[in-house]
Amino acid sequence: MDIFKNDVYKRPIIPLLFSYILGLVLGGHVFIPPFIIWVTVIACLSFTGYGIFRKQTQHLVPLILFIALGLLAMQTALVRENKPDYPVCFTEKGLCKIKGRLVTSPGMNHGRQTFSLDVSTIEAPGEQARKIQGNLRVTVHCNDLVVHKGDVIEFVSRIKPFRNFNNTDGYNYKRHMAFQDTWARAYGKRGTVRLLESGQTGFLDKARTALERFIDEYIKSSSQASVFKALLVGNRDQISPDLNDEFKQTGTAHLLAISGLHVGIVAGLFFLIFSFTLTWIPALLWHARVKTYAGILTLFPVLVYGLLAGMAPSTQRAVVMVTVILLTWGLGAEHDIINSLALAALAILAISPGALYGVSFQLSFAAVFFIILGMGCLGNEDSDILKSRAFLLKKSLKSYALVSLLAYMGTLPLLMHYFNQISVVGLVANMILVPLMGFMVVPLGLGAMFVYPFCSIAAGALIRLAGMFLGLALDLIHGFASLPYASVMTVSPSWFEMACYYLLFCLCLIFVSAKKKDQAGLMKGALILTGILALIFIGDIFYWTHARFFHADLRVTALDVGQGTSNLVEFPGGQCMLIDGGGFTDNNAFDVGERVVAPFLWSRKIACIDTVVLSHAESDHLNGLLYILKHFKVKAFWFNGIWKPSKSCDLLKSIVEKNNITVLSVKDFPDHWDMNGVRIQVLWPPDESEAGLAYMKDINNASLVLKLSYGEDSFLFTGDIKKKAEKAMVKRLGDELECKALIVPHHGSKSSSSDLFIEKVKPEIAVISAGYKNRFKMPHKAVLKRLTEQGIDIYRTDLGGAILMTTWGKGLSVDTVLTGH
Amino acid sequence: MRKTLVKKTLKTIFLSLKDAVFPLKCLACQELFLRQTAHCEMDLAPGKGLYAHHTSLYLCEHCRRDFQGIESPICLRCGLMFKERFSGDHLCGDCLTKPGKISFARALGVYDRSLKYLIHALKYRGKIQVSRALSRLLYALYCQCYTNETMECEGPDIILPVPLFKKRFRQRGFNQAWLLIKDWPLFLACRSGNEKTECIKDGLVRNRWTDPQAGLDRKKRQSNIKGAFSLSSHLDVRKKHVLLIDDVYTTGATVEECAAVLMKNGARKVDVLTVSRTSEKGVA
Repeated sequence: MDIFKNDVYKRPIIPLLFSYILGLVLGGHVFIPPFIIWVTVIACLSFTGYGIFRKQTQHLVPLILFIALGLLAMQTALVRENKPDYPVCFTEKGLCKIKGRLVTSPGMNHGRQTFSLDVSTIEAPGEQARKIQGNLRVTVHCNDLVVHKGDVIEFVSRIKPFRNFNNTDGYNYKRHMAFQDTWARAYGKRGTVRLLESGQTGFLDKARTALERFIDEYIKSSSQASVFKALLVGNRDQISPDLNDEFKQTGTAHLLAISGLHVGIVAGLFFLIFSFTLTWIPALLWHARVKTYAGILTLFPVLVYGLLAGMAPSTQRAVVMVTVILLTWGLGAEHDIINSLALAALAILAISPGALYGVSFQLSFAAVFFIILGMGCLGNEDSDILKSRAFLLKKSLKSYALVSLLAYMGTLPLLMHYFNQISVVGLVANMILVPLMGFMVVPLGLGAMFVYPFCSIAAGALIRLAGMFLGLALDLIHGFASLPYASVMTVSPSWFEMACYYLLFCLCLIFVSAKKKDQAGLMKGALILTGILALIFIGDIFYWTHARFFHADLRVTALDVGQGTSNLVEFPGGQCMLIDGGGFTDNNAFDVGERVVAPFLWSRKIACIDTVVLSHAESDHLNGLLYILKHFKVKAFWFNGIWKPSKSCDLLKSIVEKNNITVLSVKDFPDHWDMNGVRIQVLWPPDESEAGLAYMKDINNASLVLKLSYGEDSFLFTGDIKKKAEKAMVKRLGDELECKALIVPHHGSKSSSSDLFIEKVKPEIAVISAGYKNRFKMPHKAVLKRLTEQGIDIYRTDLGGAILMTTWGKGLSVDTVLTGH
Repeated sequence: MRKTLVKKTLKTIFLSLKDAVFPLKCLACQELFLRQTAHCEMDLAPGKGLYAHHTSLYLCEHCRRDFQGIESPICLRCGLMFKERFSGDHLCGDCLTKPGKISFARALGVYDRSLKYLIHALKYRGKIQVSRALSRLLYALYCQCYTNETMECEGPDIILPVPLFKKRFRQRGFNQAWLLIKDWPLFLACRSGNEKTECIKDGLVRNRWTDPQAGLDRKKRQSNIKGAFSLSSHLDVRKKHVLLIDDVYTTGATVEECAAVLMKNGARKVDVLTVSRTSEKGVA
């Protein structure tokens, strides 16, 4: 117990933080009645109280207490769904009259404004207005409506719940929104939204607006102005997507977050000013209270700046850590930086448990933790006194490079997991850009910001100077980003692999540190553990290589892409074919390719697709493919030979041309061919001219129909063909149509799946890709009835999520992501 | 009774919360350590035990035992520790050939090991909390020095800290020598024979900027400090027994200069107490 006490509670916040996180994670997965948790909490508290009374040190009880608190925090954040006074209860009630106050500034995106609304009342048709809690995500489709944060608005809309895309990559959008106390969304149509009262803007909002206006006034380049807004007041909305991409490609996106650097500069500056001023008071000098009061006074500007900067997780972290450091002067105490880091994490998670799953929280803490740990293990501990200048310069350059390296290594798996992109030039780019931004742009910018209330001319001069350096920095970033292979796209590591990596990284650091300090026991232990972990890691790589490239089964996955169709075929031996990519009408509103299909592919460790097939050029099949064709390595593109005159089509054509993808259309396909034992046939359209001429009236009927056969099993991918094409195919092909699994044509529309066609195909299972409660009411009841009557098993992506079909050539096994359907 | 219990419990809760956010960290080796409820330095010699007791919030278990007190044989005047261990106390060579103005100088411990780190933490890193421990330790030394053979308390009339120049004072934000005796009036009031003893924070004044003494040799130290001090106009030291307080005694140049000013103004006797002294003259 003594060892436990001494080692575990040396940094007391760390065990408590990990218990709390354990509680949070558990709370997201299991449900324990709140009554039981409360009893545990009270029991733990009284036990601890008794321990303090009896002067006994507590070891285990605080840990249990924090696990219970974590469970409680996560459950209260997640179970509000069932409460009767939340907007989500109105989802079945048709058009409702909604009144509420904006809690976020509206974000503009291609004619849409999206904001979060704190709902006060909802009036359902035929019911009285009811008081409502919680937030609603509102999208308004018009450019001319001007609303601001704090305004009260009223509008009429249907309320819809959030729904996840249930694929195997596990991104949970519903949970993401639930953490913002938002369970449903609504759409305000043009003309229906009424502004009831203009909101009162607080001091901070006013200050922020004034500063943004000041930046716009003095900085003419829009890209520079947008970066300044991010750097000084934490507004990242105006940074253009292209610039954002360049930051990401060069691995310098962290420079846009307001973090320790900014808060540290503000705190340091004010601490110096205050302590210099206070030394003029002799009483404080004699009582040695100068730094105490300077520290306490500095808390105010730090807090105000934190709030002004929008309190992102990285800002919160920095504010907490700086507060701890400033208070050490007042309390005559010491601080430990890792302990303070843990305290910051605990504070953030206590206030908003959902931050645990936030990208910025994870990145910020991973980077800082590994910098601290790494510098502790690898940094030089010799004292700096009596060393030559050259030595000190060399040393600081070395530790400087080390910090960049540690931050890079510490965030690598997270960046791979969330952005699937790692920056090759990142290390070098950071070493040049971090000092440029950190020592020139940010201090000058902050200086301008604090001078502005007193003298706008001096502030203007300062920010122009800062702008010159920022211009240089942006040019450098642009230069780095345009280098060939500046960044590479990667597949997503799983959580297990990330945990392995982090453990391995920690162990390596501990090993190096133990070697330096000559601690043989620790060294040996670290080495053995490193070995074991490395073996697990290699095993995992072998497993994935085998699962990806050396499997002998044919796998077909019908993805859940909402309303639309997308199927992934993994051939024995690892070749991949993506048949359609789903897609919504406007990629600017939601890019299915980027947000659904690509993450799924990456999670399956697919970065290279041999064949992309477009059955026909309609948005619900095509739009999702654009991102894939642009960002994945694609070898061949198949389609039915007909381009529809549309923007998406033109875009697709240009991407295919730019990336040198081989294009095959109907006339290029042989009768049938073999891919590692799988027989591929293009059954429809028969030839290009017929497709073009006869079916111009309805592009759906020109859909490319593919048949894959593997041993006894076969799949038929039908695109959106309708009765006419079905009839023609039955006439032309006869028994050749027969197959085990049918991807039901046109999402189960009643104009397809005719009796004649179904009887000829004789499928055992039918797969329907459609959006949950879509507005076309697909799949149609008549089609479902028809299929059921034939004794066919129906699998639907709207109910079951992604459908995974596997075959070794001797019977099909089917699995769905959501069980129970 | 109940009130004190509540108070005690609240204090324990406050301390455990404080320790969680601001863990105790050794000022010498930078290791974290845990607050101890019961002190286990009973095995140590009295001087060492007291040191370990008072520094238990600032030094880890290992470092708080790593302390070298000033032990006999020492120089009867300047308190220098002799290398040869088996002779009695006597005057050292310097004090025999050219004795200074100071009649008696003593220190708490050798300027080395954890004590050196504590003084550095206080002086250069502004850890003023350390002064609390050093102040109490130095008071124990004071009591020891000013108790005669018949166990009666006696003592100086005036206690003065070695002053800092105004600019340095403001740079540092405090005067470490004054912090060492800031609390003494409270202690002295309860000590028989010392009721009249005064602690005067600005009795001596440093008139000009002097470079730090550290890193200079004996000769340079003397010339560096020459004429730096003067007596404050409102202080009368005629026929008075004065005690000077400083943090480190190296060659004694600084305190000798102070003593010279005091003697010139008619002081009867000048003594010196410091927290530490170097084991050899002139090596810091």
